[in-house]
Parts: sequence; C-alpha cells; structure tokens
Amino acid sequence: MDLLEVKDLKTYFYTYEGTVKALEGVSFSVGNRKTMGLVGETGCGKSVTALSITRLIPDPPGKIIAGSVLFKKKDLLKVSDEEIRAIRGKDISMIFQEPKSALNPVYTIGDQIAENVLLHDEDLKNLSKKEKKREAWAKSIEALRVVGIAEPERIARSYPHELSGGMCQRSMIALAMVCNPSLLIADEPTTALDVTIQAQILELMKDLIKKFDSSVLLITHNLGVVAETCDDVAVMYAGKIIEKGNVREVFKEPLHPYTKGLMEAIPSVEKRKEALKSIPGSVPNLINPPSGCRFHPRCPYVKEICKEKEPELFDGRVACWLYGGAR
Amino acid sequence: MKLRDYIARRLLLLIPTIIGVTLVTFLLTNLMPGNPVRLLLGERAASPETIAALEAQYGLDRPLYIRYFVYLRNLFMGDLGMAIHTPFPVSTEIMARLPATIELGVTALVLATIVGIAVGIISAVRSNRLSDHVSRVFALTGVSMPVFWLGLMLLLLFYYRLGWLPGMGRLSVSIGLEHITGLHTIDAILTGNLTAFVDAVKHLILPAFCLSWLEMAMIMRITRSSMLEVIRQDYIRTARSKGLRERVVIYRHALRNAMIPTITIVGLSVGALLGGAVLTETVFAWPGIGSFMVESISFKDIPVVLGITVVLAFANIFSNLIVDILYGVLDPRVRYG
Amino acid sequence: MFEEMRKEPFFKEMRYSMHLLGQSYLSIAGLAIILLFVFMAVFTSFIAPYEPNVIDLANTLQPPSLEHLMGTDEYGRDVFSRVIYGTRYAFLEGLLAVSISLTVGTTLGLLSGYRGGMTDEVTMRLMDILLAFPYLVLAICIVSALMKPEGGFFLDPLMSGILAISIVSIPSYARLVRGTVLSVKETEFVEAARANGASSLRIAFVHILPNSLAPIIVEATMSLGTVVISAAGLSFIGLGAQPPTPEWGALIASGRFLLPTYWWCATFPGIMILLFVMGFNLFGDGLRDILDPRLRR
Repeated sequence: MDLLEVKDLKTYFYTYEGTVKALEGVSFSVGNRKTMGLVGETGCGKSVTALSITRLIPDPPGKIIAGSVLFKKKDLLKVSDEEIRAIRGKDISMIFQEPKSALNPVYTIGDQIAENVLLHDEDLKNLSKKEKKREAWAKSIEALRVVGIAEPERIARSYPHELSGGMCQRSMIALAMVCNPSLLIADEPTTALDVTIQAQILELMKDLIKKFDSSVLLITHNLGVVAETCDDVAVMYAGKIIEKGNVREVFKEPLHPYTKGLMEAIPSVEKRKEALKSIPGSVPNLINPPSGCRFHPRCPYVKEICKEKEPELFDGRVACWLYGGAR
Repeated sequence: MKLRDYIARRLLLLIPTIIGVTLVTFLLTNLMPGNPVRLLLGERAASPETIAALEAQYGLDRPLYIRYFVYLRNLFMGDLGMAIHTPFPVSTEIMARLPATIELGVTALVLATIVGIAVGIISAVRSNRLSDHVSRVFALTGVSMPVFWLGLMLLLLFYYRLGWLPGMGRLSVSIGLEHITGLHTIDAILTGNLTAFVDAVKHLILPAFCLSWLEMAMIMRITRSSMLEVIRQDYIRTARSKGLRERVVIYRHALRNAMIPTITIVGLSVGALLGGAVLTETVFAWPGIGSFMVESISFKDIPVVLGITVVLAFANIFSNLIVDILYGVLDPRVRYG
Repeated sequence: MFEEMRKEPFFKEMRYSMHLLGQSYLSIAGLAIILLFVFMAVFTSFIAPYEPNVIDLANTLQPPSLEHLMGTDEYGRDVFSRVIYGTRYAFLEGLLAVSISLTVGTTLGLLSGYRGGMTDEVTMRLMDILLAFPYLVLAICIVSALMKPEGGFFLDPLMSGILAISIVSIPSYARLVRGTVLSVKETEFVEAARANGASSLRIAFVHILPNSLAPIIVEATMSLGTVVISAAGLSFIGLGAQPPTPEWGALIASGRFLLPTYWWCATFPGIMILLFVMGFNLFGDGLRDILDPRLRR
C-alpha cells in the first residue's frame, strides 16, 4: 500500500462569479520513499490539491466536497481536527512558493523552527520547560546546519527580512524537515528563486529525501524539474489528472496531446532551428468548464466524442479518447 | 540596528518637534492681534505710557528671538507666566488640576485599548456573524458621535433619569480623602478608604466611558481590518501547516502582526483623546485641565489656554514616542528603516 | 457590439464596482443619508415650518408635538426648524474646511513627494509639528488667539472655527498625498512623461495627481463628517458659531443647561450630527472598499 492515496478528490470554491470547480475528481498516489511530481499550468489546481490533502483550504470560500485522502491507511478527510493537527508539520510538512512571505516577519528563523519542534517532538516530552526550549533551539540549529547553512547560529537569530530568498527557502526546508516527516509537500519550491539558487535547492531536497527516507509530492509547472527529481509524475489540466505514470515512461512517450504540447514547449538546443511550439488557447474557466474532455477546445486531435463524453484514465495512464473506448 | 539605537534616534527626532511646538505657541502668544499686554490689561483702558512701561517690564521691547529663548527657558523651568483670571501662576493652576485629567485620560485610554483590541479580534475571527455586526455598529456610532453630546445623553439617562451614577465632579462632597497622588482612586486604595474608592470609581464611570468610546471604535475598526488582512498572509498558512491550534495561529502568529497598524492608531488616538478630554471634562464638570481650559477661554485668559496647550502637546508627543518604541519592539523591520 | 464592449476589462471593472456598491447596503444607506441632508440644505425654507430665529414667548419650552416636531426652546423658537437650518451650516463648515485643507494639503503633499529633498524635509517637519498638537486643542488655541481681548473676534467666529479646523486638517492630506505620489512617481507612465520632456509641474498635476485621487476622495469624504464634529465641538465651548446661529453644536451648547427637563433642545441637534457624520462615514467606507483594489474579491 502506498503512503498517500488520493481518491476522487473534489474541492470547490464558492465565489461571486460562481462555483469554481477547482478539483474535479483527482486521484493519484505517492509511494514510500518516492517522489511524485504534479505538473500543470498555473490555475490548474495543483496548489489546491496540496492544500486539500492537509485540509488547509481556506473555508469560506473553499470546501472539499468529496473524495478521500488515505495517509498511512487513515482518511485525512475524516479524522478529527486534533488528529489532523498532529499530522501536520510532523508526518506531513509543507514548503511554499514564496519563502519570504511564508515566514512570519516578526519572529526569528530559529523561533519559527523551534516552535515546530516544541509542538511535535516526542523526545522533549519529559523535559522541563526551560530544557525543552534549549533542546528545541539546539535542534533548530542542527536542522539549519543540515540544510547547508554555514552559520546556523547567526541565521537562527535573524529575521526573514534580513535574509535572501534562497536562504529563506533553505530555512523553510529546515522547518519542514526538522520533525522528520514521512511526506513532504513542496508547492513550487523554486519558482520564486534565481536559476542558480533553484538548482541548489533542488539538489538539497534530493539529498534530504534520501537522508530522511521521506516521500515527496513536488508541485511545479516546470517539466525540467520533474525530469530531474521525480520518480513518478501526474499531469493536471483544469482540475483533473489527464496523464500519469513513471517519469521515464511519460517523458519517453507522452500520450496525452496536452502532455505532448508541454514537452514540445520546452526549448532545447537541438531543436533551435524550429520555431518554439506553444499550445494554442488558454486554461479554461473552471466555473463553466468545457463539456466532455476539458482539453478539447485546444486539442489538435479533437474528435466528436471528446466534446460529448469525458474520458476516463485508461489503464491508469492517460485520460484521452485517442487511447481508449471508441478507438 | 539595535533596538537601543532605534530608540536613541527617536529621541533625537523629538528635538525639532519640541522646538516647533514651542515656537507655535510662542508665536500665537506674541504675534496674534491681541498681544500679551493688551491681554493683561483686559478690558481696562490704558495710556500708551502704561503700555510701554508694561512692555518693558515683561521684556516685550526686546527682539523676538531673545523673547523666544526666554520663553523656552521659562518653559523648561516650569514657568508658564501668570494667569489672568486667577491670582496664581499658570503652572500652579495646571499642576493642581493635572491629576484629575491623568486619572480620566489614562482610564479611558486603557479601557479603549483593551476593549477595542479584544472586540476587534473577535470581530475579525468571527467576521460577518452577529457579534461582528453588533460591534461594527457600535464602532460606527462611536466615530460618528460628538463626544460632548454623548456625554450629555449619558448624563440625561444615567444621572438625571435613572440616578444610577453621579454626574458631576470626581468625588461626593460628603467624602473626605487624603491627597497623596491626586489620583482619587489610587489615593483611596493607598489610604484603605473603601467608601471613597467606590465613590471615586462611580464618578469615573460615565466620563471615562464617554471619552473612550471614540478611541475604542477607532481601535476596534483598525484591529478588525488589519486582522482580516493578516489572516490571509502566507505565513499564517505556514503556521497552520505546522499543526498549530487555531488559537495559537491567531494569538501568536496573526495578532502580533496585526498589532503593528493598531499601535499606530492607538498613538494617533491619544491626540483625539486629549482633545476629547477638554469637551468631556466640560460636560461632566470634571475638575481637570480641560475644563479649566474652557473656563479660561470664557475669561479670555490666553496665558492659561496656551499653557494648557503646551502641556497637552507634550503629553501627545510623549505618548507618540512610546508608540514608536513599541513599534520597534513589535516589528523587527522598522528598526532598520 | 454592446456584447463586445461588456467584455472590455474596463467595463468589467466598472460593472464589478457597481455590483460591489450595490451589494454593500451600508454604503447605499450612507449615500441615501447624504442625499437626504443635501435635500434638506437646498430646500430648507420649504421643509422648515417656522423661521429659525423668530421668538415666540407665548410658546417657550414646549415638548415635541405635532405642531413643533422637536419642541421649542427657551425663546419659543421651533427646534425642528432650527435643526433643519443647521444642515446648511454643517455643509458650510464641512465643505469649506475640507476644501481649504484639501487644497493646501494636496499641494504640499504633491510638492513634497515630487520634489523630495529639502522641500520634502521642511514640509514634513512642519506637518509633524502640527500633528504634535492634539487636533482639537490646536484648533481651540488658534481660535482663541483670534479673540479680541476686549471681547469678540477679529474674524467672524464661525469662520475662525472653520479656518482653525482647516489648518489642523492639513497634515493628514499632505501625508496621504505624499505617500501616494511616492508610489506613483516611479511607475512607467510617469517615466514616459518625463522622457517626453514634460515639465515637473505638469507631471505632478497632470500625471501624478489623477492617479492618487482614489485615497484622497475617500479621505475627503470621511473627513467631511469629522470636520463637522470638530466644528460643533468648538461651538459647544463658545469658540465657533455663536448663538442665535442655528448651528448644531451651538444648539447643543444652549440646550445643555435646559437638561434634564427640556431634553429635546440638546438631543435632536445631536442626533442630526450623528446621522450626518454616519452618512459620510458609511459612504466613505464603501468607497474605500471599492476603490482599494487590494480589498477586492
């Protein structure tokens, strides 16, 4: 059994313009010690998926209306508030896109990491209050050292605004890893950073995953990042997963026209002479999504059935009428 | 920059403000159409010789800048000149009444801050529920109502009609109280005089509530809106993703950030509170410097009016300084600004 | 064609603004209150059943009745009519004080923010000094400096009050405008205007000012109410409008000593102030929510 199994997850947002059906039956799983990449354009529901797993969707306007999230055989959507809080930050921790705004500006880095330790670390249970604090602080410094920060004592005493974006993201990773979580959800962890820093952070994440035996759900719009770091990949489009599989398989032979489009949109040196391809059209509005296959208005291979009926995920691999049913 | 340096810089910035404030009051005394001698003479007619003699006596024939330095020196020695409608120096008159104003002002400020912040938080956390709507109406009324009219209405209801609370002054005539600090409630506690304490508190309720309503409303509004703003920030999501209880998320992570704009409003509202004190004291015949200011206006006693203005301006500057320091303590970012 | 226009972002935004305004019942209520007061100020003589200053000693201190909706005062004057006439004074005080402080404050803020350097430093220190005084106390101080020692005022007392309040309101506009100018100054269209050789003054007034309008409008709307409260406060302690002027603050001041028996003389003018200020506050709140894009959605 996989560590995390998400089944038929549906999350809606109720807004002025109407009901945004952000997730419309999303299913995937993350295996033990595996890294799963969740790819898609902005607004396709990647982050909503991440937040739905730990029930952090702001309500109102959002609501998880159906599905299940099995984590270590427990359905996170059904457990009590208390249980989910015990899981957050300890078993499942998260890092976010904007490291600077994800850290509280009025507390030092060390305090923010130590807070997590104090909350979840079992080793501290029998210590006095003072010892607990000292121990938590020591662990925070250790965590900062582990993420490759040269002067962890100084950084621990700094405030987020005194640090660079890359440094903040390292601190966020230290915060996420300090309780040794079994699942790390990283929501676009490198998007807001400089390219050179991006590579460092990815490298660091890869090291840590190995070291701590964690599984990772990596959310990104960058296929390059997926190719470099992930074991499995799921491609999302307009609130649905349209293709998933082993990274090598999917990259070698993308099936869904959307995935193909994404691959072709990556610039590369070999293909320099050709014009860079792009997918025509834009992400559909999720209040009134297109009928049938949601990709059909942009699909070059569109058939009659695509407009009428939604394809299932055939063979657990691809949701497209080119590969199943009416073929 | 360290917090200490930040505070030192704030203190340094006070100097131009204090010079400016004293310059304004000095110019108002000396350049306005009714000059000091005319003010001193009041409605009496005087010959030009008498005026000249008086001008020499008060140093008014000397150049303006020398007179300013004399004014400044006197000010810092606590000399605000002589009152016109009473036989005492202005400073003596002010000192006698200052404790009453401090007692009223501090009570109102504390009340407004505590209640304002608490209700503001509840309002934001339970936004758009009944409690939120009630407190918003309360706040809206607070910022729309003239404080002196509110005072009159409170008097009409609780003093004249219901008779629940006393309406005038600080203490019933029949009650004797030893004078130690001048703050009646504190003096009553110090001397263990329970009757006097209860009586003093009863006298304090209406004026303090009246004076604090506006500030309470302002603090409530800003706390509510900055809280709503802060709750949407990324670091609140991070705090939740750590598995903290909602209470801890609100009180440890959101509140401190939301307090930064609130503190500014508390600082600004001290000025409004001091102005409101003048009117409130008048309505409730509270024997502080505010009602004395109004009394002096009716006697055209400009030295007293300006003396009280300087005192209130200094109180305002001082409280703004405290707010600035608090600001530096709460928000590490401003210490660098 | 109209369909297409409706899809333009501008129209979408406008429609959304109207939607927000319409949805915010409170700001609609505020607007309604304001319009009601405007109506009263314009058609005063039609609405008021009596002349405001006609003394009728046979009918002094009558309680509210059908004849005198808000009763009569110690000279037999109809409180309702006086309160209706007071609307004109409220608008006079509000509009005059706001336009003076708005003009001076905006100009100072614009120069200060745009020129920077010494201009900025000096202006802002001056504003700091004005802000160091408690608002109302400085106003009291200014008006009392305008009093003649032998009694009376150098300037019409109502005008002295308005002038004093205008002066003490300047800093909030100056600071507000300076702040927005600083943020607009570096935007690309201002850079473009500068590159095209527009003069500083032209850039400041033609390019920067219109783009800082939203917060200024909100501030002006809100302060129209507060200014009336302050002016009433001054009249209450005898420093603004003087009796028998039917200004609300002055009405409360003279009604004060008729409490508790003849409560109507002080109560009704106060209710008028409350409603008037509340109207502007509600409407200003709504405007701010609509004009501030950060608060949208």
